[in-house]
Amino acid sequence: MSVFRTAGGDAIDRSRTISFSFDGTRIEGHPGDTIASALLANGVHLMGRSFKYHRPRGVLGAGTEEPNALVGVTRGPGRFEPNQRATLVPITDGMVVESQNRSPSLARDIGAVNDLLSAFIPAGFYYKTFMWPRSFWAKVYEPVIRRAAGLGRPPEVTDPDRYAQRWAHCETLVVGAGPAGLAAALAAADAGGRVILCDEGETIGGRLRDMPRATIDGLTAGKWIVQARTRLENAGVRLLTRTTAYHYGIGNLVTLAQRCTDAGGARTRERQWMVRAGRVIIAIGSIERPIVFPNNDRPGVMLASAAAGFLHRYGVLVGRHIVIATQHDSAYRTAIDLAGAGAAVTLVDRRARPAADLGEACSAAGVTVITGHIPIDTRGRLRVSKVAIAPAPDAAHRWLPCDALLMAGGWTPSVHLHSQSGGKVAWDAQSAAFLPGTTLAAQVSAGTCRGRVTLADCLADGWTAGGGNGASAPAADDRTDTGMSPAEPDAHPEGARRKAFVDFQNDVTAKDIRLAVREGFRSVEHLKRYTTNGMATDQGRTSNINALAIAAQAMGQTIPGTGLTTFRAPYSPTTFGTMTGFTRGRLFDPVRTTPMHARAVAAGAVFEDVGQWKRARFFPRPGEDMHAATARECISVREAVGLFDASTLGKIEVVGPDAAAFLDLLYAGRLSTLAVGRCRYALMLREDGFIADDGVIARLATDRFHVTTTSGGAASVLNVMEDFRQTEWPDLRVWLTSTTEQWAVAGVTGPRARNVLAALVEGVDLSSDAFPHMAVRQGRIAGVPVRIFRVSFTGETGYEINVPARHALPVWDAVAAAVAAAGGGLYGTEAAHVLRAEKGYIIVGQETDGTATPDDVGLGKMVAATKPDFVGKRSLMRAAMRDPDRKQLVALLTADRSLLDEGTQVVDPASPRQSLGHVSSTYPSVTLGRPFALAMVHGGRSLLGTKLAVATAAGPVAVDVVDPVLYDPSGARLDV
Amino acid sequence: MSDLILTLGDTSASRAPDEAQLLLHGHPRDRAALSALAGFDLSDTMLASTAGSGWHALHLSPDEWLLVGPNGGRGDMAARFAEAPIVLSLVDISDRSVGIDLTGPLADDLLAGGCPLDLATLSPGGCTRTLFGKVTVLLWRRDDGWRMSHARSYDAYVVDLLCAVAEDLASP
Repeated sequence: MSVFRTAGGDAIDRSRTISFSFDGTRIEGHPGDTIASALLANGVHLMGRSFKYHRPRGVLGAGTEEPNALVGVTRGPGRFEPNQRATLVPITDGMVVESQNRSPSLARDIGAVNDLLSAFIPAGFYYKTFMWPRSFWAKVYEPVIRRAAGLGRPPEVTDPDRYAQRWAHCETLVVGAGPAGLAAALAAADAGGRVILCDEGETIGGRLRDMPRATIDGLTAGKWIVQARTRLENAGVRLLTRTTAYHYGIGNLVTLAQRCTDAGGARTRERQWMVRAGRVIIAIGSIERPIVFPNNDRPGVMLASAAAGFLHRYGVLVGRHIVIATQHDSAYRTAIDLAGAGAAVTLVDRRARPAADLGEACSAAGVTVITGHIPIDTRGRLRVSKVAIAPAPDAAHRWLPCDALLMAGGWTPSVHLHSQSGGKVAWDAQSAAFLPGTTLAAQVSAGTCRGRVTLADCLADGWTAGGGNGASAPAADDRTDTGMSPAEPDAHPEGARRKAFVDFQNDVTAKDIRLAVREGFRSVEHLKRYTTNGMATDQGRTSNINALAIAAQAMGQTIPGTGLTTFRAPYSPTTFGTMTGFTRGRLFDPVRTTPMHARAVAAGAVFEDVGQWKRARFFPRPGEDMHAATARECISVREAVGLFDASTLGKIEVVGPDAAAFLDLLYAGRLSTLAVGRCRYALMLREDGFIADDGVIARLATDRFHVTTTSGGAASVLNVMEDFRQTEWPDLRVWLTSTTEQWAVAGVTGPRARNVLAALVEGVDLSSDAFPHMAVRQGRIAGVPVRIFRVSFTGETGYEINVPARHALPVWDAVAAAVAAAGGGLYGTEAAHVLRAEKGYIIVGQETDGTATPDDVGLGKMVAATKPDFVGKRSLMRAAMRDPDRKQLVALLTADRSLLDEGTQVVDPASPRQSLGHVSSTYPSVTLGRPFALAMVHGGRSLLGTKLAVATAAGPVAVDVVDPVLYDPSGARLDV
Repeated sequence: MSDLILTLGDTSASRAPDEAQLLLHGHPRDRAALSALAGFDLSDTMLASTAGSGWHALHLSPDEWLLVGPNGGRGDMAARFAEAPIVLSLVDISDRSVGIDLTGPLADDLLAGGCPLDLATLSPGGCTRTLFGKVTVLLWRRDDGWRMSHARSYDAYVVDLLCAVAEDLASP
């Protein structure tokens, strides 16, 4: 197929050929190819345009470090993903790949004019140039900059694929399945305990796959990898490939992103593993650095390690005439390998005298070695065509023709996960690198990520980290193993006018960094943000250390004296799908339903969300809107009888000899005087004296209370109760049990409520003498034992029937039939709110806003001020809490009979710019024959009978301030 | 008898039968007296359960035992505690939650889709409150698998999540 394919490549299946399209051109490759390897196999190096200057770019790396070749990938409807690294995405038949950040085409991009205008867009240009006029930022500058300098377009339709999450626990988690990680996992498996080994690559082996001539324990590297996999699988090690450890959290909770399939469909596409590990062995290797010199970014210029990866994994030669620029040893291996695969290779070493045996090995392989030279420039518009080399930047140069230029600027150990674990990094002069330092987490780094250099050292280091005895470590024999020998980071010399790129993804040049230093930025964190170096999605994998070296040189400091920026999760770009997992659609948040939910659905209810609960808001009949349905439901309750599902009310059973004393301390009212069989409305305050919750409390026995809370407050009230019980009053002999879901509650209310119950209830005398308002009785309905509370939230005679939840439906059906027979029907929360507001009953969270005292809402008499203590008592004694000018609950009636809006401001017509309060509830009322509102108004009770105004969009509306109890002020209807 | 929710090879999730559940609170120092009332020994090891005469007692917090037993025995068991001479709280919560029984080789993996606990740390009889997805559940390792119970209003969510986890486990 292509002239750039060799006979090698352990990742690809040569027996099959598949194809995809790249910007409309059909490209062939083999299963196992990445987009990048397939393109390179076809001689295509131009894969993208750079972020800021729109310069033509090819791949820099061969893996996760890739900053240039970001592409959009489409695998069918809804399966479009932008910003994918071409070096990581395996090709699938028929997939569509598009390049990014170019217009109209990759080869002819009008944005490239930025490259010529670069003098006007230096580091930090957007902070300087686009300041004025201020109003232009949001509407003009920012959108234009975003379009010109950006990543790919966002997807537009819902992702059709499945994502999953799973928790896992192990004694040892090994991150990275290169030589050190494999050795560590083998040793840990021998030692016993659960072991998880993950690697972001398509298969295990890591950099070992690029060392085909090495032998371990007498096997070639490839065979040893196969043997290691078998041993690990036999030992029960959970082996996760295509899996990136992207977050290292506290308590050794490491989050992994597993790419299960690229195809999607019925299979899980990506799975997030939350791994809680006893200890973590980090063996994530190191990443090669580019060399900083002018025009070091043309397509065809890449890392030496990338060329090695493409050769050994995919059987792809990145060029026929290759120049390698190096300043240390590891590039020699790559040079020999590339020459062996048929390329003409020239190796340019900055050092005057590299080790003699390396030169001999090169000569034997036919590699030309030029010592004491560095690259100083390149040529070639859409692909490198020649490189200028010279003994020094300003010395006489000569041109070497080439179709690929490889850079070997040294290796940067990956300390990301170590840093995320809370570990410090320390500069190691011998390695010329930042290495893992101290950490509090139970983790250890092994292999090249902690500065180990040779294959033998890495295997031994991993083996020991995994708990193995050093003497029995896998033994490596690799005569050409030159290791990842130390190289000083490259501080590109000052003075070059052409662009020498440091951060390829964000288009940051050496000049930008020097400019920032000249402008006074000294802290590495400031330099990073001002220049944007290291802030792209590659997190500066290839650029941080070079940028640091340049900044240090410009400031006349050492590298360790200048410092390193912090590493944050995610280690690698991670999809929202992975992080979302199951949590979408029906599983986004639980939807809680009551035992009678199906009956409400059948009755055509329109539901509203109350916290996680679905509550029936109203039951429209054909042709009715919410107002019409609610008006009908209100009339039904006021004139006949209504049935309401009140199951969501919080319920807590408080039991113990000190239950009454406990409730006396917790609630503002006095519960100890409550007789058995009776109920009392009570307010719970916070310690600051403001209303926290309310509810009816019934005394079932001397030592047993049934406490109700608001629907939304059920969980928090129980928490507050437990908190006080355990920490403030541990001497009280009392226990709490949530019974919210034990009981389903059918509320029956209206003038015919008693008649309805009389036909249903066995064992209870319903006469007002025997069962008065605010009392509780136990009886049976349809044979089921029930607790009946005679309470009212509507102002009419009312009963709340508490039924054990599993028997809810037969009881509900019996009650519903009786209600219907009595000429009544179902009502929803909307009608309930209107009915209670007509009576001036508050809703906590509606009339109260966390700053209302009992007296503010007219419930001062609910406070038993003579009790020695209760939660909030001392706060209520503060002068400000007794100020007569506090906001107080009143009702407002509009002079023009218009309906006010909730939240609108109440004002004095004489000075309408100052707010006197706000409207807290507002409804049309069929009972009153007019709309009305409840409001919290400063000194409201002293203003009863006066006229104020409410500010509306149409202007002030005159209102009469009246008492909040608009319906049945005498309470006569509570006992009909 | 029990309704099947899902199967995955030899693994299944099905509705637990209706049972009586009585939540007993009492002082840990009264454990012997409480045991005498229950008719069998209540565990003094946290997050463990004991059994006797058809009932189980799950020791869920220092002063809390959940008594689980046959529906028909509910009244008798409650009556034993009603007039006890020691201080305690007994509340019938038989209707509060619903249970799901998970059995088979992938039962642990089904739970691992939503439960952050290391299930291997719970030996047979072990029990604990934990999370399944966003919902508080009670996990109880029984002889033949797991019993997971949760407040009944969350049932649709729990079943949906179990099915989603099963689909993931079925995915290669």
